[in-house]
Amino acid sequence: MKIKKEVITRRDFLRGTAATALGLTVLPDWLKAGMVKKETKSAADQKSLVLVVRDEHVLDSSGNKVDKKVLGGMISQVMTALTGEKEMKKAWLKFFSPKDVVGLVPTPLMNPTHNELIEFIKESLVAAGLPEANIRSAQGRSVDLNSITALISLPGLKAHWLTGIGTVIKNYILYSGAPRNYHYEHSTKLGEIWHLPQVKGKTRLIIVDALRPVCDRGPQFDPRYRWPYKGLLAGTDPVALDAVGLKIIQTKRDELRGEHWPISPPPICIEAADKIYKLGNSRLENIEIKTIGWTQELLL
Amino acid sequence: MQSSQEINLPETIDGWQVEGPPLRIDDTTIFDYMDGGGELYLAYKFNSLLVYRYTRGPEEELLVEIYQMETPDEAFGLLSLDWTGEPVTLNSAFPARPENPVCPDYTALYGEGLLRARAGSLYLRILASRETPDVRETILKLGKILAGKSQPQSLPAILDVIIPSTDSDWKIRRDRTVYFHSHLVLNSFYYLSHENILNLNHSTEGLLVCFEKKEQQPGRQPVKLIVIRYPGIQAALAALASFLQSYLPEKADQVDLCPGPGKTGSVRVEDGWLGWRLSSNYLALVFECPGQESVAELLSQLNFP
Repeated sequence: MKIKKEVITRRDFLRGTAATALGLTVLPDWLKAGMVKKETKSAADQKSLVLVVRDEHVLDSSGNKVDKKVLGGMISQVMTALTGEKEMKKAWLKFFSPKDVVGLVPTPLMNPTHNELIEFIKESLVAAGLPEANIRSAQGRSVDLNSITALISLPGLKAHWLTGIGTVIKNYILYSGAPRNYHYEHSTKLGEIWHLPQVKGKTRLIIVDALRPVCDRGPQFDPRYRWPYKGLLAGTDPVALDAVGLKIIQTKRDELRGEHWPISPPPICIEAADKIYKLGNSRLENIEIKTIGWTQELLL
Repeated sequence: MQSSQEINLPETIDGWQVEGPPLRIDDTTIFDYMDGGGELYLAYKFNSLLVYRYTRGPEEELLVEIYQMETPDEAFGLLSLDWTGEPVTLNSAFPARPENPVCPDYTALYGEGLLRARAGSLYLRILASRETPDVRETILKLGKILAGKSQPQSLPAILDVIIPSTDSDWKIRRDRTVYFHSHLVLNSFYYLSHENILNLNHSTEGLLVCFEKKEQQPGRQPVKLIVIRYPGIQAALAALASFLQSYLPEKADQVDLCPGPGKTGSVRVEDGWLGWRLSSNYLALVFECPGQESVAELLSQLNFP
C-alpha cells in the first residue's frame, strides 16, 4: 500500500523534526505571500521579554477572592516594567491612544479570566483618557473586529485536552468562526488566526491571568488541578508567553505526580506559531524572563 | 437500567435551592454549553445531558451534570480518564467485586468539591463553587440519590483480554488504565499522531494500559500497551497497515499485510522498542519497551478470544 501523505507522529517530536515536517505546507494561499515576505525579519532575531509578576497577597486564604488593590499594584508593575514609566497614565498611553477602540479578550470557559483583572484594565484605560464607550468586550464569534483598533488579550493560563495548552495563541480561536477547524491535527494552524486581516497587528498587549492556573487538560474544570500561582505573565510576544506558561504548567504537573507527567497532545501550536506563522519566539533560550515580586514555587 | 429520564432530584437539599428546571443538552447543543469540551463526550457514545444548578446564597453554587451515555461502558470510559481522588461508595447495596487486575473498581471519586461517578449508563459530575465539609456531604447525598437505583456496575469486556502473569517482572499501573474509542482521547494520554492513524471510531474499543517493572527504576516512564478491538478482521488489518505506514514508514514495506494468521513484530525506535500483535479483529501495540524480550513478554499477556 502507498503512503497517502506525510503524517506528523510522536517520532517527529522525539527527533525534534515536527516543525520541519510541518513546513510551510499548512499555510493557506491567502497567507503564503505575506509570510514569505516576512521571513527575512523573524521574531527569533531578537529576544522576547516575558514578565512574571507575582504577589502572595493577591488571593485570600481560600484562594477564591482577589484583592483588587494588590492586583492593581501588580498591573502597575507590569506597565512600568514594559514601558519604563512610573506614572500609569503615561504607561498606558505608550500602548494606546485616546482615539483607539480597544477590545479586551478574556477567556470565557474552563478557567475564566478573573473579572477583577478585566475591570481593573478597563478602569486604567479610562483613567488614561480613553472613552469608556471605546473599551469593549471582544471575546466571541460575533465581535465586530473591524471597528476595533487595538486588542488586549487576557487569557487564563491552562492546559487543553485538544491542543496541549489553551492560553494565548488559542485565545482568538472564536475569531475564526469555525473553532472545530482548529482542533485535532489542525491545532497547528491556530497561529493563522492571528493573521486574519481583522486581527493582524492589533494585539498591543497580552496579560495572562495566572492567579489560579489549571494544569490538567480538562476539558471540564477539575478543582484539584487548579493552584494559587498568584501571578500575571505579560508581554507582547504571544508565542513566548505561551512557551513560558507551558513551562510553568509542565513543572507543576511533574510536581503533582512526583514523576514526569507530560502534557499531551504536545502543544505543537506553539512551535508552529513561531516557525511557520512567525508570531514570536517559542524557544526559552530566546526569551528573557523577568520576574517581579513573590518567588516561592516560581516553577521556572 | 437507570436513565436520566427517571431522575427526580429534590428542589431543596441542606439549604440549597434548585434554580429552575434542568437544562437539557443534546449532541446538537453540547458545544453551546461547553464549547470544545463537547468533543470529549461525543468521543464516547453520548445521548444527552441534564444540568441542574443549586444555589445557597449569592455566591455558592452546586452544578449537577447527568450525562446519559448509550451503555455503561461509555460511563466507565469517562470515569477512566482520571482514577485519582478519594474513592467513595454511592450505592452499598451490592457486594464488593473481586479486584480487577487491569483497572480500579471505583465507581465514584471525590476531590476538592468535585464528585465524578458512573451509575449504569449515567456519568455524573457534581461540582461545588467552594468546598467545605458540609458541601461535601451534600454532594455525596446528591450522588447517592442519582446512583442509588443503579444496577451492579459492569466492566467493558475488552478488559478481559489482558491477563497479567504473576511470574512477570512487570506490573500494571491500574490507575492509568483508560478506555476509549477516539484518537483524541488516546492522544490526550499518549500521543501517537494528530491524525487518526489507528482508524479509531465509535465501532472500535480501545484500552491504554501502563506497565512498569516491579522494581521500577526512578524516572523511567512506564511502558504503554494499546489494545484495540475492531468490528472485523479486515478493519484490524487495515488499521495495522495504516499504523505502519504512518508511524514506521521505513518498516511498512517489510511487513506481510496479506490476510492470514496473526501477525507480530517489533522494532527499535527513538524511545525504545515498539511491538505489535494482530490477532483476528484485535490489534495490540506496545511502546517504550526497554528491550525486544520485554515486547514479547508483554504481548504474551494478551489472551485474544
